[in-house]
Amino acid sequence: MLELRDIHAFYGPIEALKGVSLKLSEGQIVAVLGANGAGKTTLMNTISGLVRAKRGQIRFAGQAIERWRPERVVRAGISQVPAGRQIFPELTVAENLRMGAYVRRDREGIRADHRRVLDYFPRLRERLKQPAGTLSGGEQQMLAIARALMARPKLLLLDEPSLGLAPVLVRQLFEILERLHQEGAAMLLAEQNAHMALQLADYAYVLTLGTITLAGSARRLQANDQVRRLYLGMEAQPASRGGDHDNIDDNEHR
Amino acid sequence: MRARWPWVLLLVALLALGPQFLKSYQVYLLSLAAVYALAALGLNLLTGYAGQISLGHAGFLAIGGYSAALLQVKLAWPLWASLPAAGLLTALLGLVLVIPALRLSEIYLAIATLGFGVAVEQLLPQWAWTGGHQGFSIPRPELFGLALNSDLAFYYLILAVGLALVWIAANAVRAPLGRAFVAIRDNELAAQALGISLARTKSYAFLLSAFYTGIAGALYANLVGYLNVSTFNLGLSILLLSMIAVGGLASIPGSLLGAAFLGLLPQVLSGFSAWVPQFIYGAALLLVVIFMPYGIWGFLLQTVGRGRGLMRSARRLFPGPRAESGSTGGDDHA
Repeated sequence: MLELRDIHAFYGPIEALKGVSLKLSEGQIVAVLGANGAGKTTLMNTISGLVRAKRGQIRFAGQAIERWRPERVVRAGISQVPAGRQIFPELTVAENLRMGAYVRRDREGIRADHRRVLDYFPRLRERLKQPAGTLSGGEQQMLAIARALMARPKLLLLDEPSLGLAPVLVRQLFEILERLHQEGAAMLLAEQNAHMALQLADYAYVLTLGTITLAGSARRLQANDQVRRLYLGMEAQPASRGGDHDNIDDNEHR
Repeated sequence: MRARWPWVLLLVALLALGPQFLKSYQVYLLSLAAVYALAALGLNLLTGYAGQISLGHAGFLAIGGYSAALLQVKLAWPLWASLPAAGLLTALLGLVLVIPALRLSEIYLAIATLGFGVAVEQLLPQWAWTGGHQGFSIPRPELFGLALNSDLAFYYLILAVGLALVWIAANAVRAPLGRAFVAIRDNELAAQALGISLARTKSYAFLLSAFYTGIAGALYANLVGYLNVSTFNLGLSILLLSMIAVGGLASIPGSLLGAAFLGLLPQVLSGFSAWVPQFIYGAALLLVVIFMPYGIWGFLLQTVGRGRGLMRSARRLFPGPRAESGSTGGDDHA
């Protein structure tokens, strides 16, 4: 469905991706793990067309999309949930959702999808008329995902959806992603929260300073020593703040 | 929402019948305020809704005014043709500013548009047709054989054109295009991720804004009957910006209210020595920024009490930090 071949891309003057190749098949969830600055966001932005790749090919559903503008990529069926809850704070929740269907003109389908996403995220139903800026952090993240779903994407790009969320909300979020997955949605998931990501994903890549250093099925990576040490906070990991072994890795952000 | 209609009709009736009871000069002043209001509306579409600041709108007024006047005087075009032609010509020239707008933001775009305004002001008198620095006069036009030589007659022309343009703007801001304006203003990244083209949306914003301002310039030329480049200076651009900030950013009633307030203020206070209107102008700006961050219109809505629901589309003069951290944003609406 999606295939990247030898992608080189810049983040400002820095070469953030130095020849990244990856693959994602129909209905799969593929996780991209990596620390801050590994190039995860640049990778997402390159696929969605926000960043133009310097070299390499991106194929989606049989088409070469590496030179497409973002609006064309969205129309082709790739929706990105950018990092950091990029909602429109002054628009209401309902208006934010309507913006998600910006590229669509089928009123009936949009209305059906509106009901469908509210079914996934019942909290948003209560807040439809509220300005999105007044939502809590978790609700804003739910809204960003719901809004991306309004485009009825074939592939969802999720850039650090768990960033800055309380563990309870992270679990809720991943339950919803799991449900979407069971209904056949394909996702590319960039995460620092390797623990949750590897539970959800079918396949995973580890991105280190712009290159893929490790790839394999999620189960194999969960068992991999390096991943366990660096991303899951196990074994060689020194005692950490709070002592909660479930998600140690992304505390540095907040 | 539907409860608005009676008020709109009342206002239109007042604007249509009220001038019957005014003196000719007062009608002229009202016409002038209406022309300002159209220009302010044009600027608000660009700056208030689409978030693209312009310090060069006096340039668009000049282009609209000069093209309408030249088409009428030199090429003997009738009013009904020269008015939209001036708007379209200004709109096309407005596209020039899309180039910097795609690369620059906020203060840098302000400087680029300022450069545009200054360039127009400097270039126009260099052209022999424009009468140089002396300027030139335009006879009062005819419309379909009807001489618009009284101030009242011309007022009705401005009112008709103005109402039509206000109606179009009110629909445009609620259409997908208007929502795209707000989206690129609030969050370019998210807007692009949803498939909104920055280039196309900004182009429409500049086209629409320049069209409105060009029409306002054309009406100005015919209303005043005399054009001189020194009218279209930086001060006028700043006045237009002040009008939408004082009236209410991202608000159509706000544009009209701000233009009426700042446009008529010097006339109302013309009995006093020159510093009085200047002082009140300055004080009004200061007070609005401090006490009415959403402008006069936003303040009225809040005071009337239905504020909260309607306020969200309004925008503060100085936007607070982006609600990126999630916890902010709420207090913006207090």
